[in-house]
Amino acid sequence: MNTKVLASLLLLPIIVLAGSMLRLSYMSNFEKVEVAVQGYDPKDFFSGYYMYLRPDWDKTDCTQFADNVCPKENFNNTYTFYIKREQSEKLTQKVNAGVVTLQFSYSPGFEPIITDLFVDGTSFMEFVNTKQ
Amino acid sequence: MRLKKKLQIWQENKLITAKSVEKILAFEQKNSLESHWLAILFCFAAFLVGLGVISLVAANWQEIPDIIKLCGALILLLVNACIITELYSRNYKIAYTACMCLFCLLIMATIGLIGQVYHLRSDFDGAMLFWSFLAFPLLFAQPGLIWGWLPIFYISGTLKIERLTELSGAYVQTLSLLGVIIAYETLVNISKIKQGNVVRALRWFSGAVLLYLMFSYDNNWSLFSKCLNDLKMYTTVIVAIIATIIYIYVLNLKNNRQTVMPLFLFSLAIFSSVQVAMLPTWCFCGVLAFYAYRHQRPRLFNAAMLLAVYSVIQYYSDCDDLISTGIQLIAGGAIMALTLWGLHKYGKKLWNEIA
Repeated sequence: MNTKVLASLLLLPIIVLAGSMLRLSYMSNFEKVEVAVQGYDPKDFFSGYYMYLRPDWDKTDCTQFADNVCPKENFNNTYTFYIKREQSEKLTQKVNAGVVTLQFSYSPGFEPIITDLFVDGTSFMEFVNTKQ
Repeated sequence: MRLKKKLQIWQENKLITAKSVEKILAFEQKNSLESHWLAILFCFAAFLVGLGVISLVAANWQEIPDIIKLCGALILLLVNACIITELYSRNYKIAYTACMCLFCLLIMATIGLIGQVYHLRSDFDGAMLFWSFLAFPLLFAQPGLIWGWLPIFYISGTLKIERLTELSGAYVQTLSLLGVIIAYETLVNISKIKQGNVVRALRWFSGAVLLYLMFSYDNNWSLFSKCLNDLKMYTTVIVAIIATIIYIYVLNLKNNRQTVMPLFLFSLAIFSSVQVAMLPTWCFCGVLAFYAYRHQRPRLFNAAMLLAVYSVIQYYSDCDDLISTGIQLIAGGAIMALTLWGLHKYGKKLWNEIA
């Protein structure tokens, strides 16, 4: 096999992966909306390094969307948020207290992309860095 | 081999005598064996240091900006692609196939990384199918990859169909197995692989299917349970062993190493991780890799490397304190490398005894 052919074969997956990254990065820069969430399964919140969350439309402020209507059908039933194992306990309490929201980058016609998680209005990174 | 051929040509052209050829070969064999040992042990030391560095990076993973993580993954892929192209042009077969496998694993890791950075929903079978799609062109560059690619494609495809159609698992498994075998046979016919390789591939494939049966026997994946007293885990392994025996007996396949090998390798890795001690698995991988290298068996070498990677993943999934583990691994690797260097430089006699 020609070296150039080999190089092209190797570049193909890299290009596709870079393309997916660019597409997701583009989709992360839409207008931001916040959706209230609750634990997906209260018996088993955390599995490995991520937690399952389900949008809670009753607690979500629908005025941030067009026509003041929450586009439930555009969102999935559950979402995954990646965290460190040792942060799970701290966050479980907040999820149970119902003060956690997910921030999405949202534009109609595109799949919403999670951009951050807020606890009592504080961004996730700030929340984990506080000693309380 | 190259030296042997060259010497033969020189001897034929009466540049050197037969006695000189023997002397040179004996000298080179002794030296190459020594350098092989040295290279393997140094690689092990470098492996430990590398693991340590990965541990330290992993410990601070959340603090690293997403853009650096993503760019880092792409750079790693590009560097690996350059190395593969270079190794191919220099005809280093073992290193080429090993780097190709590493490239496939890096693609898998990058998919996982993208999922993590953008918090995409956890979709194991979807991710594996995406990997199958991305790794497909590489089969043209390294046909041997099909033995790893095919089971992954089969398992992820089955799981995907099962979820999409909500059909009973047994139906889907049977139908998809049939589909994959037909597709596989077609692929084999198109690529005109030798008959001997087809038989070997089918055996590897059947081994992978049996492995899948092992996993799917219990929906809770109890095979990965950390509890040694878990009766289900033993039952799962016993069922797989019985299935293997029946399979060999019914099809009357003698010397069926290819079928039993994946089961054996994975069982060993799993049992080692259950007992926490990873060292036996790593040593086994090292010996297997060394044997494969000495006897120029690239597939066996890749199997050893894959087992090593799998056991490392298991090791990390059990390990909580990444910082102290990282420091220990770096220190261990550095001490090992220094000892080897010292032995090689100053303790020639002792080193010769070891090698």
